[in-house]
Amino acid sequence: MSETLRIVSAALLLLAAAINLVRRQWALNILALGLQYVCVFLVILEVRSPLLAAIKLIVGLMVTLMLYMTLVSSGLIESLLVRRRLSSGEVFRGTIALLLVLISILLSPVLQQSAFPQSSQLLLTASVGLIMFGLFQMGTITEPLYLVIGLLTFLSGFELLYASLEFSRVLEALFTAVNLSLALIGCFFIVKDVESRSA
Amino acid sequence: MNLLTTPTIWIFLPVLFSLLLILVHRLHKLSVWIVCTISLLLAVVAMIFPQNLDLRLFGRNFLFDDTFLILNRALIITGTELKTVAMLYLFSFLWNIAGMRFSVSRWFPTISLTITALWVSALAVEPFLYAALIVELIVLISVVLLTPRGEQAGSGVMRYLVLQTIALPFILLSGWMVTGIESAPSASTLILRGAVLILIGFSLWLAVFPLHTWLPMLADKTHPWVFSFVFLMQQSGLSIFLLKVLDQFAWLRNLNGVFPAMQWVGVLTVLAGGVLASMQTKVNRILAYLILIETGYSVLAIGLISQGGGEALALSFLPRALAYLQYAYTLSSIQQIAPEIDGGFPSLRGLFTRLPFHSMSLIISLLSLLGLPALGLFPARRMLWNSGAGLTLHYTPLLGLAVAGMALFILRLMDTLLTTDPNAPSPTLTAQGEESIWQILVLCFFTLLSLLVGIFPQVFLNPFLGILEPFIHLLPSS
Repeated sequence: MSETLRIVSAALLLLAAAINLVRRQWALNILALGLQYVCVFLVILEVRSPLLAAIKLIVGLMVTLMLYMTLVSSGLIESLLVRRRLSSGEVFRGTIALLLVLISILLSPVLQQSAFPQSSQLLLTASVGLIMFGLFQMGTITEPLYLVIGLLTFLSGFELLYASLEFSRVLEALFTAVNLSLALIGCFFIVKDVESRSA
Repeated sequence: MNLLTTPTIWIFLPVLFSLLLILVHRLHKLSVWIVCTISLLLAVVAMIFPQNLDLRLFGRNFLFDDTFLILNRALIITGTELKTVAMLYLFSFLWNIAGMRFSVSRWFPTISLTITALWVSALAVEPFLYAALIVELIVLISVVLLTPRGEQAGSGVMRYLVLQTIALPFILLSGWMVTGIESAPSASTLILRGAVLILIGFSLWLAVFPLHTWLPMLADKTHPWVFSFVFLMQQSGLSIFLLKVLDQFAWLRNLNGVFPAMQWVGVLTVLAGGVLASMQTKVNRILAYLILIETGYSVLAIGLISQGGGEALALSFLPRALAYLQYAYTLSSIQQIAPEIDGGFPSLRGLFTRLPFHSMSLIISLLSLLGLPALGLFPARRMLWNSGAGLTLHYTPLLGLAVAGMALFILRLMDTLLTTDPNAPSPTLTAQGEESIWQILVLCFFTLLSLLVGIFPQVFLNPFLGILEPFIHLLPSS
């Protein structure tokens, strides 16, 4: 795969994570999560064969679909075409997102030199970016969907990093189980949230 | 594929039963009885299984393998590890049999059996740091139980999920970072990094001070029965896993400052638990501080491993579980008899006049966890206090303060239970309901058991010293 495509994938990956951090529109967030998993697949091709990388893609899309179906069944999802003005909170989170992207770009050469020499800078930028976006999301929001998206983003970032360090089939299987369980828990939280709202 | 292995019996079989139990989860009593039978059977078999795994049955010899290979990795349960396995299934049995009368989630039997099997697999997987992902799976499954029925997930359960997930990369990265560095000099930067990563990971998992903030929040919202089970299993599983890490990683246990750091973390966690408990006014939240204090003592025991801390840890598993069981049972029973009691001190005022045996049981379980002589935890506590004092005088006043904090809470609780407010009759006095003979018998049985364990520790607790046998590098003499 060409270097340009990989750079574009990494940039899209961070953009998708930034959208999930900044915007609070369920349909858009689910779409961004799906895009994030497609980009993870493209970036991870650097260290994995297409067949093995496809596992992460399939699992990611399944996770996205599970969350989407739950949101649809809750009846609270808005159309993608609904336009809303940016709130001050979103502007603040947007600034934070830019800062996080900048930090991940600046941090990756240092990390490569000091801790992960076998990982490429691009992969490190993408993984560190995802980890930071995930952490920020988890640390600032308690709404179930966003918390689960934060956790999934954090785990995706770590999986990306770990893929460049070690390969084990058992580990892949366990990561798959964790991701799917996390999505199930996300659906469980969303259903509980909707039930308590309607009660 | 060889199926005549120990992991087949103690991991795959219970997982298979858990999956089958999903089909009958609506039949709560049936699920509970099946889980109780399986758990007890697995615990007893693990306890009496020959250490060489050569089982003679009906005149035939069955030689079990301790290794089950899966995708080029292994699940290993050796003969010496079966005591730990027996202990975990014993806990599962106790919580299912005694909890039958409480209205906890109907998924409790199924999930508790799965959690137990997963803890066994976390302790059996090789490379053992892969257990981080199994622990994450346990956390995810536990969340279903910890979320209260009919309510949305609270911030406690979310913080629990987040912090436990954050621990995962620390553990996995540490394992990768230190692969093959056993021969490197001890001052190597990699070793330091690996040690820091692994200790941060365990701190997050164990929720030591100051990473414990979610514990009281969670205890406040969760049924005490579920909360005590999930965190007893987590505390016991992680303590043994930490011993395993120290046993396998020579670079970690030989690193200067690791054990003193663990001692300080343990002491400060005990102190924080004791001091915070002294100010509490809700008995539900106290369960969180009890877990915090016990975590502190476990970490302290591992920190004092060369001063007899290992024995203290092994001797504390059973009495600690019994004390949690008694406290959670009593609390759950009180809330079942009188649902208007929310656990706050005002609602408990004068409870002794209405539920005397429950009130006494609550106090006795707390005294047992305090380490009162003649009660279950005293032998382990005495060993730890002596070992700590023998090493340095710094720990004694801090541990004393923690004990004083807990004792202060118990005195306040006793005062609340015994005294009534003449101006405003509390709901405990106005409501109807009495203790049944059966409930009194169960509470007396718990108290008697705690006394027997405290008075005859050599009978009840010495078998638990076998839990330390697998750690031949960390405890060469065990």
